[in-house]
Amino acid sequence: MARGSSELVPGTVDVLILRTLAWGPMHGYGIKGHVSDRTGGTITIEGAALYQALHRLEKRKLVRAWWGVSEANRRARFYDLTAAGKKYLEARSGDMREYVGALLRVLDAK
Amino acid sequence: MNDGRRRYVDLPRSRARIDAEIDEELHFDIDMRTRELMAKGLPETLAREQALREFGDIAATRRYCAATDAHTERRGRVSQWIDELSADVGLALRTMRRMPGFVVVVLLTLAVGIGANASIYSIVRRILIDRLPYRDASTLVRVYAGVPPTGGSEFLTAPELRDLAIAPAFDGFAAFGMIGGTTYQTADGPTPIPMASVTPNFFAVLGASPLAGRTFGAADVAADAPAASILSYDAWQRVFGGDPAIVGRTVSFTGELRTIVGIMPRDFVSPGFAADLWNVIDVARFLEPSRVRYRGFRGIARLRSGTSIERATSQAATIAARWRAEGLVRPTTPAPRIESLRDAMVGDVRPGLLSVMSAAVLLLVIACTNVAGLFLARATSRRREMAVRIALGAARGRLIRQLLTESALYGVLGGLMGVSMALALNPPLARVANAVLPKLGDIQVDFRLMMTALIVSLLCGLAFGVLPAFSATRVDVKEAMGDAARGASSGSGRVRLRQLLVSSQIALAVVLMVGAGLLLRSFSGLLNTPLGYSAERNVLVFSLDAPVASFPDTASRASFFSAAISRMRAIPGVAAVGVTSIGPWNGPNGAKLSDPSNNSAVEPAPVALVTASDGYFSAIGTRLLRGRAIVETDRVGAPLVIVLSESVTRRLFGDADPIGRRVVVDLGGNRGGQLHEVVGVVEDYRSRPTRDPSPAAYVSDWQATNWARAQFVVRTTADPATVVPALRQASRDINPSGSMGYLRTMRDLTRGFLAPQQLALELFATFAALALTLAGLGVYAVMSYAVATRTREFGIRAALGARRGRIIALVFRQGLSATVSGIAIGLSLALASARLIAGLLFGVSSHDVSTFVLVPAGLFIVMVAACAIPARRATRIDPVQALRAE
Repeated sequence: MARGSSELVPGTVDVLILRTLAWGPMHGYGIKGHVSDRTGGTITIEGAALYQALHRLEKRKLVRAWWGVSEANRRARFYDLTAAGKKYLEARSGDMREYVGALLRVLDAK
Repeated sequence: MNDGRRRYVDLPRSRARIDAEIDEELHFDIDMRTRELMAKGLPETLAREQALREFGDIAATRRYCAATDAHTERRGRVSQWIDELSADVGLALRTMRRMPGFVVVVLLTLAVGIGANASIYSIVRRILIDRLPYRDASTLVRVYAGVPPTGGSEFLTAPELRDLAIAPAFDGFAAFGMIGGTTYQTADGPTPIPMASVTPNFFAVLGASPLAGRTFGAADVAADAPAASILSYDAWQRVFGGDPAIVGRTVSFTGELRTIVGIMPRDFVSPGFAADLWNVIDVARFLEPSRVRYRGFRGIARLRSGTSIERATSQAATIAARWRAEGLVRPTTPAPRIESLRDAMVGDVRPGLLSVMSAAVLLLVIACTNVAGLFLARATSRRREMAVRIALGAARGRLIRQLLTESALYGVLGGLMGVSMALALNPPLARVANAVLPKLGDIQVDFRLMMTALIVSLLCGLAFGVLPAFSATRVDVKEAMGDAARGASSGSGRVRLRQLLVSSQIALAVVLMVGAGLLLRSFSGLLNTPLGYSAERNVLVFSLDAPVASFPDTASRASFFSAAISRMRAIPGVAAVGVTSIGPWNGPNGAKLSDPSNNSAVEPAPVALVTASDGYFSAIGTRLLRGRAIVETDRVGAPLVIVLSESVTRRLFGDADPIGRRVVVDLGGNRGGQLHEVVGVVEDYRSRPTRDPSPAAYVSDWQATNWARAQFVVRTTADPATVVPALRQASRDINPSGSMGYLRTMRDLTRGFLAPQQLALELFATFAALALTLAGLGVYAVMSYAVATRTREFGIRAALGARRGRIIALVFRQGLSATVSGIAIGLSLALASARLIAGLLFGVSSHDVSTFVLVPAGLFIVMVAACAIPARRATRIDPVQALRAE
């Protein structure tokens, strides 16, 4: 079952983006595809949410951006994790794991 | 794809650029999705529609991203600016490390300019700019009696005070007078305390509150009230060790009992006179017929709000007209004069301070010009560096910014050094200034002043950096990097600019040197002005008290002083001893002399009336011109005698022999109208070297009412320092509780008169010397550089057989042409501005010819010396090497 980003827990999009960029520099469209592929289509990030998040992360200096050339030989805006972004990702993924674990303990309680 | 190492923000992006980039980014996403959907078999229109639907609110996203990016951009621009600035500062510091000599010269030059200005400004601010330390100080005025054309005193009488005080222009009218001193016996011996008498409302009119106790009130002048006094903070600390219990106590000053009712706070300043002890005085007592003519009060008043000085003056004039009609003053006596308290307190020193401040500013301009010249010379040698950087793509604006950062850095560092210099100079300077100038509070270099100095210095740095920065970056890359750059003469425009800078430095140095020269001439003239008394080190003056408690009447006081004189005369090494009521240096004590035989055809002559004992004239060194001096037998009971000064004699008797004639001495008080026989004529005296000679008359000290205090004058043949212990012993022998006060040599005393002139001269001379040094350095630097850049030319000339003399002449012609034009401009500037210091000059015209000839001559010699070293270097150039170097 596919879920739009509007149904995600707040802050999840940021973590998904940062985690994806941890693999290497990528443009927005690539990030979207990567998330969709990795979740087998369960989670898709809407373009609107993705780009707003990317620019917000750029402002917070968690990612940096530059213009490069895409696989299709077109100018595309690439994003990359900054050192601050890496640190932020580590902290947030820990939080999230804890949160999901707690959630599961409640859901799986017999 | 890029390697991701690019800078976070490259160039500042405009709003339109941001919008375009967001559009491109979002379009890329939509296009990619459309293509993906088309690959799955959808027709293009449907694919695009679906891609757009999947994307969500594209307009909102565009708006959100644009706003976010704009914010990022702004922050990025600031951080980029900081990055560039720190890069520029780093580069500047590295450049500075490469040439320590240049850095030291530039920073010292700036520090001298800034330090001088900050120091002088700390004084100027306190005295001329800060508010006077009184409530609503701008409405306070001083009131002086009108002085008739025949001369007289500016002090007021009690009836005049009474009438002026009720003028509607005034909202409070106080008076003070009887400025003098007393002593207090402490464990260390008697301590002198300057004192004055003030009316009960004096502190209220000034709006001053006491630190402890109270100020005076009407009850203090009641008939049975104890004599009340108020102490200054300084005297409280110095004499009474800050004992708070002193308030309310009755204390004995020179045998006189006074009750201390209050202590003034530390920042209270006595308005225009020195006093550490203020005694209350009842002016009404001076309305009695016997004292009604006592002219010894000085008026200080507060103007009613909204009333101008002009209005108060016109009301005073109306009152004065009534006085004339009633015969209270002469028909020729003008109306009282009213002046703002600020003018009264600092008016005398304002021109001097402003002159010195202007001199400091001139010095700073010279310093900046000098630094600009140095920068310009260096800019020329950095043309290759600039050319390389421009060729590598550096923007000219960026290079200019970098050069300006460098000069601003020099400005800030020089400013810091200047401020430290001012801080170091502050204590001695404040000490000198407090001794010479009206004391209005602490003279200090505070944070505000430091900041101002730093900003001025930074602006100077930018100002002298602008020209060189533009000049250095105006480079023809090909020319600068080609062979032509080496050894070729730099652009003629730049040479002319440097010559112009040197000329203006010399011109300004001439102005300062002329000022210093004029002040020096004036000062040496004043030192040699005959005073009519001795200004030597071997003449000692001091005061000795015969306290009323121990010596209640005139006769006992006279015998006390008489005994003291004979004891002191017996001391080995003492040549003469005399006593006077008031030394000539203390200023005139007004009286009027008239010739009774003349039936008032001649107006009574105003004179300074001085009492003198036998031996006084020979001790003080006033020359006897005719007749005899006062002798020991001129005592009570013997005929009253008087010695006149020569101008009084001329005034009263013309060329006739005055000896044996009689004059009426009108003291304006109870002793008026007594006939005295003229027994001698002495020279006139000046109370100050800067004043005209005063006509004086001397009556016998033994025939006058002896005051409780006498001024002793002792002339020694031995070193005065060796005689002082014996003098002290003698005074203790006669009166163990009394002691000598205010002991000084006449040389110190007369030098003190000239302390303001000396301070102005010393400051001017220092600035002029610095200016000359800077100008000399400027010429030297420019000529050295010129010789260095003309090495090849000189080499060729030498190879072609030019004689050394010819090459030397070439160098001198270039250096001295700037000097000559600088001197010419400087002299005309000095001629125009010398009038500004005319008020500080005595006996010298502000257009004194010898100063205007000697200054340029001296300066020219220094400049010749400054050219000589580079010229010698030019003759040493080896033609072979010079040509091979190319």
